Amino acid sequence: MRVPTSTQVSEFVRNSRLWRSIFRYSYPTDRRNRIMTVAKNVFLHLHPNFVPRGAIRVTYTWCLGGLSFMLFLILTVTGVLLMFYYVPSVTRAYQDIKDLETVVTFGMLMRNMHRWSAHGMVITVFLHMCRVFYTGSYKPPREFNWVVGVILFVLTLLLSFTGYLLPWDQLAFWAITVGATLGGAAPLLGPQVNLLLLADYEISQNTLIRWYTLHVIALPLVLSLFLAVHFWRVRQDGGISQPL
Amino acid sequence: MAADGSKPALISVRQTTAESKWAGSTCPKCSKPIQPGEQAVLCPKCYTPQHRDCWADNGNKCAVDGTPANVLHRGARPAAGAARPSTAPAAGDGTPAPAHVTSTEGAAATAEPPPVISAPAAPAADLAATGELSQPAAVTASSPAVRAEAAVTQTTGGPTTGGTSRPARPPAPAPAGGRANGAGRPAPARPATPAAPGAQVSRTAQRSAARRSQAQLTTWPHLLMPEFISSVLLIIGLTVMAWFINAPLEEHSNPNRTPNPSKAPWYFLNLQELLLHMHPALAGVIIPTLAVVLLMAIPYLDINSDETGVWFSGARGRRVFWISAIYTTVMNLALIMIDKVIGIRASVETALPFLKTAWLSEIVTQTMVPTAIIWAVSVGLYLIIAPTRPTVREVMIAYFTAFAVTWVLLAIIGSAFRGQGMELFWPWDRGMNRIG
Ligand code: HEM
Ligand SMILES: [Zn+2]
Ligand SMILES: [Zn+2]
Repeated sequence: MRVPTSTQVSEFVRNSRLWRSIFRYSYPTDRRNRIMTVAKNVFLHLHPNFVPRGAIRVTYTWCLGGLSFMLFLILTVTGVLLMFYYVPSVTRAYQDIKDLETVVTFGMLMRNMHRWSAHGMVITVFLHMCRVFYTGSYKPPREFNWVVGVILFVLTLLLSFTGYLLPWDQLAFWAITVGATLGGAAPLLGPQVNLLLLADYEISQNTLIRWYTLHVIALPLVLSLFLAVHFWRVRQDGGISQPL
Repeated sequence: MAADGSKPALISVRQTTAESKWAGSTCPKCSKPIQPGEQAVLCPKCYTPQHRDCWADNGNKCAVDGTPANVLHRGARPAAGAARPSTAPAAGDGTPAPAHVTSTEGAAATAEPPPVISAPAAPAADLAATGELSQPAAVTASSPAVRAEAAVTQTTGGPTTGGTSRPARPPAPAPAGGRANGAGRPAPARPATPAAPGAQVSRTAQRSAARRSQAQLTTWPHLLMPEFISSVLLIIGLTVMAWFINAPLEEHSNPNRTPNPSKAPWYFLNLQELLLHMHPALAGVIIPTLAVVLLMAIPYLDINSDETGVWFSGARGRRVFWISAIYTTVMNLALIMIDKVIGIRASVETALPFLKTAWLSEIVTQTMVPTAIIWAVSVGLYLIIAPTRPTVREVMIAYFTAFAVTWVLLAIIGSAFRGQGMELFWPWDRGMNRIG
């Protein structure tokens, strides 16, 4: 029997019903297919079909918005993997982290990636905000997207902060103690804010479950919602800002 | 935007000359061409040129997409220098015949379709030669429907040359693109005295012309490739880092053993630093809340869209940035040292012995004095830049920079320079806790 050449194999695969049911457009080498590939793909259609040359210069955006989003995705994936092993209970949490580090295959790597991405995201989001500010990209008609951005910045900090408690070690415990003291100093409502943050009079199981829920569900959902608005508005406001 | 109660943008009037990129293009409101000698404005969102009067007739809104914007009056003069051959963009240089550029906002499948040009033969060749405009198809269209159709022919593989013949080129800075982003733009230093209106028009007109002549590249691959590459680099870098550097994990939490020092996560150490110098309510709640609110307010205070898309809005803004960055650094460090050496709280209490009552002393030394100092330092920043007669944008640059520098500087001091008892230490000194 003759061995088929790689071209023949690839032709066969690409012409199969299965392949064509998934990919409607051939690899986009011409202008029309390039447009269709972007416009008709659920992931890619966040993008416009065209971008002005100046808007994609790396020295304009420094990719910072994109990197922030990428870090958010990495955090989601690694976070899900950590959730398989982590139980938010004061009697188990610390040991679960230890097990992740020593027993679980690639557990240490996942935990490290999650931790460093979280720090990285705070940095990239802050730098992205600076990029947007110094290029004057908040000016009308982009005012509201800037406001959405500030909310995203606050949410990013909150996500990072709520995650900080979960390992239940000394570092976590006392960092949160300091942080909660800061919030508990609110004028008039101090004790109430403190109770809201800790769900108790001191850091306890109640605090852990509250922060865990915020960290793994509530805040990511809210952040995703604002991200959707953010991306939508970038396009509604005429794409990446350019000199008038 | 106006619908939600915010102030609309400000846009400046541009004097149309024969060289203006929009000369001859159709005004979407009255459907007549914009002639040299007439005043025009560009929509801040879709960049469609329209008559200045038509803009006003339309209720100060774009006739294409309804974007509201008020017209700035300064600079609206017969533009002596509006398109001096030396400063005018390369395309169209010296060609008396106008090039007709029509924006194609609203094309069916495209967010920002490429400019469709209709031009007399000679300038068309000229434009093609600059490499920025793909396009022979001579289309002059007035109704949106026709224009949309034109855009589709243009973009879906009509007899275009420019766009398809350059796909393999990497998104390197092109001459016009470079100019548009201000990187290589001649410093638009504005003198302290009001600038000659001509120069103002010339600068914005030049920029807008450069912008409008920019090629519209297909997202695939020109945007997706850089995105893909940066994602891959990010993942590789992160994996390498995660492989070699372990996230910290200390011993099991113990409410009875307070580590010294106890630190918040690094991005809150700036607030913890404030906590050392003032009342917790001020440091932990009022200042951060105010910072967030003021950040959100920026675009509603600075509504002039003219300077969008240029780093620091030019050389003057860059100067303000440096002035503010240096001033803020010096002030922060000085205040921290003063508080360390003389102890503001103690010295105020010695100077005003009648404050000995605890609660009164707390209000004065922990709230009023710090507030007054912050206020004075902020006013000082304005006074420093005031002699250059700053624009609103420049004031924003000064204060945003003050915020950003403070945020970073105090976080660094908190992480690396605060040790036992939150005293200052050199980072290489003992007594330090880990930062992670
Ligand atoms: C979770 C955090 C965030 C993500 C993932 C994100 C993502 C993005 C992306 C992908 C873009 C496209 C352009 C670019 O990459 O620069 C963008 C644009 C923009 N972002 Fe963000 N962003 C975030 C936070 C922020 C913050 C904190 C601000 C400001 C306070 C902000 C304000 C804006 C504005 C005004 C634009 C439009 C810029 C332009 O037209 O040039 N974003 N964002
Ligand atoms: Zn008109
Ligand atoms: Zn418009």
